Amino acid sequence: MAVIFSAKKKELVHRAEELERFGLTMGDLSTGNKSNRFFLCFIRACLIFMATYGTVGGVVSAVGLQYCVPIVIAALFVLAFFSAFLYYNKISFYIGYIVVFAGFIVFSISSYWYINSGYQAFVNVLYNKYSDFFALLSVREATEFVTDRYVTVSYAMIFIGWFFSILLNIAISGYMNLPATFLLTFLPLQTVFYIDMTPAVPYLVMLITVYVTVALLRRSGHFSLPYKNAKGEEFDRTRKKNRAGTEKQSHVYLSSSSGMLTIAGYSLLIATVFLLVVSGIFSELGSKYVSNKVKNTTDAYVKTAVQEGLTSLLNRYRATGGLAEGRLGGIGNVAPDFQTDMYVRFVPYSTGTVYLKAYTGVTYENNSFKGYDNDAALDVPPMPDPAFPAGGEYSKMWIENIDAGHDYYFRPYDSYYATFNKSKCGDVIAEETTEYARQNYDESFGMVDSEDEINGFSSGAAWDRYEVLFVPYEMLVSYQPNPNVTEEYEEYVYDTYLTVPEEHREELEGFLEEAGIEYDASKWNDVDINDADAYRRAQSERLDAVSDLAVYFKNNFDYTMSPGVTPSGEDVVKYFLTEQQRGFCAHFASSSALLLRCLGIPTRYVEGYAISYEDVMDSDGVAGDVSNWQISNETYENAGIVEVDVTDASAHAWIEIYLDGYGWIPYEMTPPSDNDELSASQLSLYSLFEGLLYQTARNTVNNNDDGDDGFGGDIGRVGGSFKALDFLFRPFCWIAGTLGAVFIGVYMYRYLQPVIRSRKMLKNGDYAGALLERYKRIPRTLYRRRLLDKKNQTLRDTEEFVKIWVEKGKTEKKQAFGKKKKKPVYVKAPSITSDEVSEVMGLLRKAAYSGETFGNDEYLRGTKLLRKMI
Amino acid sequence: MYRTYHPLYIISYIMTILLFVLGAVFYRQPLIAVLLLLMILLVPASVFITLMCAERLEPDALSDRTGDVSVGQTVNLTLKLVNPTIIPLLNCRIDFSLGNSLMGSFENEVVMPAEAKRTKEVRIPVETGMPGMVRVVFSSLSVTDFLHFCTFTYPYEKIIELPVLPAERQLPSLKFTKVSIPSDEAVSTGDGDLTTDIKEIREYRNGDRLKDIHWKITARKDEIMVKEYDRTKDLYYVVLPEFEYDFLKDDLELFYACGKELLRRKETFRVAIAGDSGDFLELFKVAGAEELDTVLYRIYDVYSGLKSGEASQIYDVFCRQYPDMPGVIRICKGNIVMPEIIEEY
Repeated sequence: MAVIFSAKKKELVHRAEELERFGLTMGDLSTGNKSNRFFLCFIRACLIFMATYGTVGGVVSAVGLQYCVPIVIAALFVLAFFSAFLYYNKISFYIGYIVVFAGFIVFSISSYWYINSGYQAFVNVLYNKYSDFFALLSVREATEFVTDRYVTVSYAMIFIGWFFSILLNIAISGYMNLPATFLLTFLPLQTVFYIDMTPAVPYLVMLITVYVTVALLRRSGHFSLPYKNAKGEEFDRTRKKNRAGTEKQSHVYLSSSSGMLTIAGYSLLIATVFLLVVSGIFSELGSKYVSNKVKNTTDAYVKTAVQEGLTSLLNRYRATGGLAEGRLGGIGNVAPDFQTDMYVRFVPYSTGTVYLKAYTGVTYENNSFKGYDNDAALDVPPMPDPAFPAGGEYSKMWIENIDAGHDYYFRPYDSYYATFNKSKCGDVIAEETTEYARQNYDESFGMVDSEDEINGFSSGAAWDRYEVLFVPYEMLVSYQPNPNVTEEYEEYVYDTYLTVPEEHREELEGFLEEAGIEYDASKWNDVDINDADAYRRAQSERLDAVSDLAVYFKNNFDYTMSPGVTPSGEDVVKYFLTEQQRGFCAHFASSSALLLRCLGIPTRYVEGYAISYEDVMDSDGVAGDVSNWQISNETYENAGIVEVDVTDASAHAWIEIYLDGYGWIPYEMTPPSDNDELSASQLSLYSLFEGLLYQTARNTVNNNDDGDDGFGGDIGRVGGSFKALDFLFRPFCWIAGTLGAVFIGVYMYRYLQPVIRSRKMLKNGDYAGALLERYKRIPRTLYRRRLLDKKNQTLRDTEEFVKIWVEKGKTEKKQAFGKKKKKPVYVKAPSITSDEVSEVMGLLRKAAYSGETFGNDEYLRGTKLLRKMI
Repeated sequence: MYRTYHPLYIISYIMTILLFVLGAVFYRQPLIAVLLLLMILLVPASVFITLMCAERLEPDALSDRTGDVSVGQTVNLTLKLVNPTIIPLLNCRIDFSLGNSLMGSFENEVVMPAEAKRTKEVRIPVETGMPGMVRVVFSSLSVTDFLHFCTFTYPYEKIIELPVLPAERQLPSLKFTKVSIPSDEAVSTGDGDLTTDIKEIREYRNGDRLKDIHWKITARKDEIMVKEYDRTKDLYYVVLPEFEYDFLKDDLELFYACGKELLRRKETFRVAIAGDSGDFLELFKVAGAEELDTVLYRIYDVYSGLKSGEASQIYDVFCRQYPDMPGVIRICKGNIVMPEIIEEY
């Protein structure tokens, strides 16, 4: 009240000042019919009801739940009505809200079990729809204390509707705010839209009606009740001064119940017609399962949230890429920061992935693949010549470790020698160095658990820059035994790298059995390596088993960067294999390691960085002589040195399997990522847009049924163009064409209307009327050409003007309203003479005012002269 | 008609459409696509429909008073907007300036809806506080489309003028002096050169000399009678309104009271008012109330350019144009200034 009094007092002061300054003042503007509050509130109540029922009813109907329609409609309308009338006046506003909240609380408490059961029923159904849609294994069956869903869902709808009507009342009655209204109604609908479930048309009609009405009314104002204006006027008055210091008053009419009603009516009509017409066009699009990278990403989150709850998306420890050091299950969402972890320079030698190994996981316990500890390291038998004997070809790799973890150093496979703290790189590899490397395997670090190496790491040595000599071959299995492998080491390998936690052995074996992966360890682990055929067969069998597992993963498991954290108390491998069935590299590598150990294949878990060929292609070239980086008998054409910026996104986990008499070889168990997901840190505007345009097939159960391979068939970038919008083109063309046709039709009608009318009149013998009809366009045309001031001129005025025009031979065009004065533009007079003007005007006067007979000859003469006039 | 575009609204709408495009590409679902289409189609529909209907709107303005208005009275202006179409145009704006010709004016805009097939009327009460010519000058009717993309402005030129008369003021009993005007070009002061021929014997009027009283007839009639002599020059009351902005109200009231008083005495008088160029004076003869009003309106017009601290400087012009004329009745600084009258008793 104080505000009103203060505003009124201020207004009176303003008026007194105006009387002093201008000698007059304006009182309160009024239209004389301001008692339309009830009607205004009623229209807004209708809008709130449509928004509330459209949302709540739409969601519930989309999942196929039944409810008591009349009761829900009546209840929601009463609530909307009550909410809208809170804005009736100040008293109802302040007291009404208290009543609303009190009623809400009373209803919530008294009907708690019904509401709760209805809510649980809805969530159960929705959850299971999601589960079906994403082919998840889990089913939700939360307890419904009251089992009559028809009743409980109705209660829950009224409860949610009540809540929504309060919020929507603020958005609609208070501010007529479209974004708020849209978000409040559209977001709940996403629960069903997301899995391609669409509410029935009436609900959508209601929602679109509200959107259109609110949009149209928002811009025009005219929706507020007068009391919203602090001064209590029917018009809102503001005073301001323009730049010239002139005072300007603005009087804005606050409410127009008639306008609101008409707009709401038109909006309803538009929504109904539009939805019925357009939905028909869209129904045949069949774009249901077409997806894109962004949606695939959100799909991954949604799946995780549905299956493991929202908290599963929160990581238990840092998840910005890099090495996890064997820790598993705590990262629900990999979010690399794409910061440089290391720079690697080398001459590319392969289109395959270059692995830089760092961490070796030996024993698995408590969701972690533990590496060597110092005591265990002492038990590692020495193996002076660990790797396959070096050939005559070497390549050099220069690594600068920026942020890849300084407790480790990273090396490519088949690397032999390192020189540390090499700040400069690109020197010629001295022949003596190569010779030294060949002869001093003690200092080399191949695929072996070297005691020196282990001790070196445990002492926390950190090397920022170093060079590595390695054999630049892709990892190929040689069926030649490695003479450097010792029996002692092989015994150690079989003792150490076949261990699995006994409590999980049963599940692991069960999984292998179900997957149909077999390996006869007793037969193939004990082959005489000197028997070439048996040795080759044993290696092949071992590799086949590993390959079978990799293929099984590929066909039945999903790669995702957002698998969700493993629930507390669950074993990560067991949960991954039995429940989750999707994950990232660490999941696949750790599970593979244990499964293969179960089969009897010595396997270890490895972490490091994987440099893909794409990374190499995206890298910068470095100036230098290739021959300084390679010692080879071969000549490499088009070879060059590259510097790869290795980020934490390249951090990776894989496995190494042991081949008897040969050594460790790396093996990739992670299914190839179809790159359909974007991590949170990748969601820049550009990548988001790019991801949206990158079409994929949605990885749903329905999709798999359609014969997809289950990997969300990658449709691709579609030429990198806007073809992702192709599904919109056809309806757009339809509608644009229809509109264009209507537009042309209207103009044609307007143009042809007088001709048609005059023809009709001629048919009926009304020559006078026909001539007058023909004349009508004359003053209009002259007005349009800015020769006349008014559109509707009298005959006399037109005659006068045309005569002067004809006599002078030209006339000046009128200045366009509101535009700067330009040089006068003259329009040449028509070829008609002054006498002819008089004649035709005489004919027109006769046609219009005289009762005399008007003949065809006169009509023909008149039309001929009229044609001459313009 | 001219158009004004509203870039901010257009840009924000385009941004919203782009968001919807992203949403449509993301979801590829009918509802989003329908909304997107609707949003795109609403633009031409809104602009085109508004354009079609706006030119058919018929604004009108009128006042509930046709004659004079006294200071302090309230005049009701009625603003009408007729919409013969079936489309409600909710964003109509009528621009007009409102002011007193002597005081200045301020701009106004009334934003109102033109409801479908209806006549919307808005009553604007104008309270007057100063004499002068209240002038309402309508300039344009603007109609903005529903989405605020474009405003179409049409000329609507109409002027309503309402003269506000000064408040009635009681004058003290004054003896007005007259000015002898031999011709249009020259004016001499004093009572004029009298002849000895008596023109008529009439009733005494305030300002008559004592020596002209016809004592005999006065005694006989028991009423003061005066001898009126023929004069060689005509004698007139000439009122010279020398208005100053800061005393405008008093000056106007005094002038009006003075004029009324002279008319009450059945005197014809002249009012000297600056001509169009301001360097010469025009004499307006006032013989009745209507002529007094006409002169007043002329004054409203002539003195409209005064600002605070400014005086009309008309006396200097008067002195230049009619030198040696102390008999003129000057109205300045809220007073009636007359030369000292030398009575011949």
